Amino acid sequence: MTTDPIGIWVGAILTLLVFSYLLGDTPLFRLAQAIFVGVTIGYAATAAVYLVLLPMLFDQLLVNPVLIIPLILGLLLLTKLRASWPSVGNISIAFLFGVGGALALGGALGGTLLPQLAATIVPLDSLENIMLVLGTIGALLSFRFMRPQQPRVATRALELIGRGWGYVGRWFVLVAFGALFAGTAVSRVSILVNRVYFLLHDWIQVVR
Amino acid sequence: MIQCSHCGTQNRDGSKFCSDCGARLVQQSGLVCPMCGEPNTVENVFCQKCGARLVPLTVAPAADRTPPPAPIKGLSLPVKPAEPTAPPVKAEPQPIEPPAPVAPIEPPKPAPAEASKSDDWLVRLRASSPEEDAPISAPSPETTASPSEESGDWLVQLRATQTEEQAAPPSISPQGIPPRPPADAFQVDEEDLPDWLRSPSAPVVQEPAPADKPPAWAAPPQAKAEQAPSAPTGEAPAWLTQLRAEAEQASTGQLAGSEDEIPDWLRDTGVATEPQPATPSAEEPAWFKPAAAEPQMSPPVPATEAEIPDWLMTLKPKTEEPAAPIAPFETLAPVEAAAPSQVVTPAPIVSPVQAAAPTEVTTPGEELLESLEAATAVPQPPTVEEPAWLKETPRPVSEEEDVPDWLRTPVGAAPVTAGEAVAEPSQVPDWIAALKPAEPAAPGIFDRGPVEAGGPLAGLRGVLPLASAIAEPHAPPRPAPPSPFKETASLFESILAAPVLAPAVPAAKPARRQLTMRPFIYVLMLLAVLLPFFVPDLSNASVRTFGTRAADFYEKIQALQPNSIVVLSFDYDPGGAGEMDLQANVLVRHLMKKGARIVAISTMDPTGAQIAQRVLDDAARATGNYTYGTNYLNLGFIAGQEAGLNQLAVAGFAPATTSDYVRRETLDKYPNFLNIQNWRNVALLIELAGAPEPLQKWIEQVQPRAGVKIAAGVSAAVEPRALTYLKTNQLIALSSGFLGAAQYEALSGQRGLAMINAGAQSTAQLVLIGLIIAGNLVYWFSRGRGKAK
Repeated sequence: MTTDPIGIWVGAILTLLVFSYLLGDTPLFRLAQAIFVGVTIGYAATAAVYLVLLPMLFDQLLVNPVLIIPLILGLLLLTKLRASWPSVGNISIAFLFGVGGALALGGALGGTLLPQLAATIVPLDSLENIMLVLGTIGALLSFRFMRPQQPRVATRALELIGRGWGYVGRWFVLVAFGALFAGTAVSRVSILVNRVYFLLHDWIQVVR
Repeated sequence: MIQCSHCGTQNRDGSKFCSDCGARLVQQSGLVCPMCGEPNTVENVFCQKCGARLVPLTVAPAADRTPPPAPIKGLSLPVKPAEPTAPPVKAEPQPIEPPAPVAPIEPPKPAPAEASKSDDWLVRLRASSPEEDAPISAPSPETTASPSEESGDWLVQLRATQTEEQAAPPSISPQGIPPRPPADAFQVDEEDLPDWLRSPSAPVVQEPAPADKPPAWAAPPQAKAEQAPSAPTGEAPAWLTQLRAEAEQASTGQLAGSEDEIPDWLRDTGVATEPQPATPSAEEPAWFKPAAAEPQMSPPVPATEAEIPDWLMTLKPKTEEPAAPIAPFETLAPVEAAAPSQVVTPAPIVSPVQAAAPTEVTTPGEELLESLEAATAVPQPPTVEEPAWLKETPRPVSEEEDVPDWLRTPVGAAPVTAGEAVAEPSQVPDWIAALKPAEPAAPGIFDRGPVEAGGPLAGLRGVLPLASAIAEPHAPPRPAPPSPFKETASLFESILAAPVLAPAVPAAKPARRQLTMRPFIYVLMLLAVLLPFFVPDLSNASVRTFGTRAADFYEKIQALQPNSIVVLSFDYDPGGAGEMDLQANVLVRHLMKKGARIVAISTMDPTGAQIAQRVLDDAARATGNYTYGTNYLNLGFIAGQEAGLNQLAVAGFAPATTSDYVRRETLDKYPNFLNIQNWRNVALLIELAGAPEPLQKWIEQVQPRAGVKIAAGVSAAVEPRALTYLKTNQLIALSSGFLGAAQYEALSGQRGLAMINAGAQSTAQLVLIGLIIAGNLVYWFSRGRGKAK
């Protein structure tokens, strides 16, 4: 909650400019969009310099000479500004992708996949657990796109079961998508209400 | 013959390149039908495929001769090989006797063409002599005429052609004979010569004789006899021998002084005087080959009457009949019609030199021309050289031997003592001029046919072989297009021929104003948000708090000990601050109320540090007892995404390198927060995530390694994803969106923005639900109507 009148007025005007999008892609909306993008990039660049480079690299470069390695890697990234320049920046890109990929893969495996698989192994003593198991397996079966070309009797039975189960699982997926959509809608409505309250309370001050 | 596939020109067998266009020729063993292109054997007269005539019609006998078609320049046509006939009569020294009658054969085609070279007065040479068997003694005085009159038209025209090609006027030699034109003049004309004319006239210089030595053929009769002893002179008939002797006698005096000046090509043209038997002569023309290749020709059997051309028959001395009245050449009776006993064919007459040395084969017309030149006995000027085209023309010896004798006979009959230069009228000896009749007879065969327009034969008429129209080169037949193409073409033509009908354009419906729902939705949502702020009943909405996730979250915060270190990660941007600030405010205020030491960081967006500072400052001002650096600290943005979080989980907050966001001082300057470098001292980590990724990274990178308890206050959009972690106990508490913030405010007894905005939020959500249902119903009914249509 800001009390700066200039900030309130700037915020209010920019909010109205964004609302002008309801009338179409107006220049006012384009202006507000450009301002937001510029401010965001400027702020991010400033934050990167003052929050990352200065305190974590340049201020400690003399203390910890090993930091010259990330400095060189960072400078090599500048060669990616133009395609005609030497592609030595790929070294930094490779380093980033390699480290990031390895960490993401390892983290996803140990932090999401295995715990989620373990969470599905539950006793079927409640309707919630039964629905959890049926929904999880059904959702996985709904994404099965292969089928045997010459199914035998046994496999045909399994095929029918899998197809039916996958059909049920598809509804679980639809429900999950519906939940995501509903959560997104509620989230955006909350932002709308916050903006309207700002206009009525902070700018116009008709609402206490 | 090989027909050129490119231009259709007939070329000699064995030729590799077309004589006209230079294209590579495909060797064929037989005759190619000019109509269908079917290769036929040389024995075929008609095509075995289409029945077209392969062998052109030759000159018919004089009796039924019709005007031949226009000769085609540069075309040598295939000729059906002569039927096996009796072997030619071997030359014998005794007088010629009438040969036995033989089956008439079709004379070679070029014969009449060659005969056409001669003039009428030459044709009537026989008539001028009182007795054919008697030696020609002296010219008759009545035949002497002016030089211009003496020479025939063909000689005049030929000389005119030569003189035109020369840049300078010919200089008259002391003998009254102009010098031979340079070789270049003939070099140009050679290109226009047909094959059958080139080959016979192309001598081959086998061994160029020294310039200081007289040519063998020009040597005295004694010397020639020594050089060619195997060529008895007595083989020739008496009347021909005498005729040649007179010619030699007339020219000996002139040749004696200029033998060394005679070029080689002139020596080679001396067919009858060629001293070297093994010397290959001129290349045999194509039309000679069939007859020459016949093995039956080798026995010295007198030639049949059919083999004897008409013009030679006219020269035949008649032994039993007196001199016949002079008749036109074309009116001469065919040889076949004559009684065998009355005909003395010159075929068995072989000159002594020819018999010993078959050197050169020339066409009868050319031989006749040479004989005339020899008769003049005028040596060529020393400047005359053999043209290049004569040097390059090979003369196979083997082919020369196969030349029938009747073709050699004229050469032997007329002694050749000089070059082949066309004799000037003044060069014609008197004894020959005397043979010329005073008045030419009626136009004969030589007056027929078109007159050559260019080349060395310019002005001559009927010198080219007669060709039938069927033998003319035709363009290769084009293959008929396949039937599918025809059908397609016909279909295309029918389409084009069809009248163009204007497409039925449906009448444009009047633009009906589309009733859009968008403005109504905007207005409806705006009213749903605004009205609760002005209607107290709608703004004072109650929030259920029992049994909610917010209640669990509240209990976890409530369970914290005073001075517990709680890390708050502000991972949302200003765009989501309208929703996330509701939870951040209520949580921070609750933590301050509990006396927790708050450490704020941001890992996903640098703007999160500024948002964190604003929220903490607002909560600190609201609380009143919280100060920065003592009770709460903002460490700012932690870069590196997964790497940064992993490093943070492994090493913790390094006191010497970590600086705060506000004062830019290291962590060791804040003693209340020195113990946060160990995650075990952190009582709770609250992740405020406006997107699912920050929460996922915290749980994946930090939670397994640091073992810290994580609670999440997320956006409503992230709630479905966060619930999975809550189910797996990776999150100890979860609060989401506006509803979670409102519940938390209700639980903590704080009336904040969440409770204030709860009415507007609820109303807007109800309106949104109603719009979704209405939209689905409209879509459902509109779909049903679409199906009905």
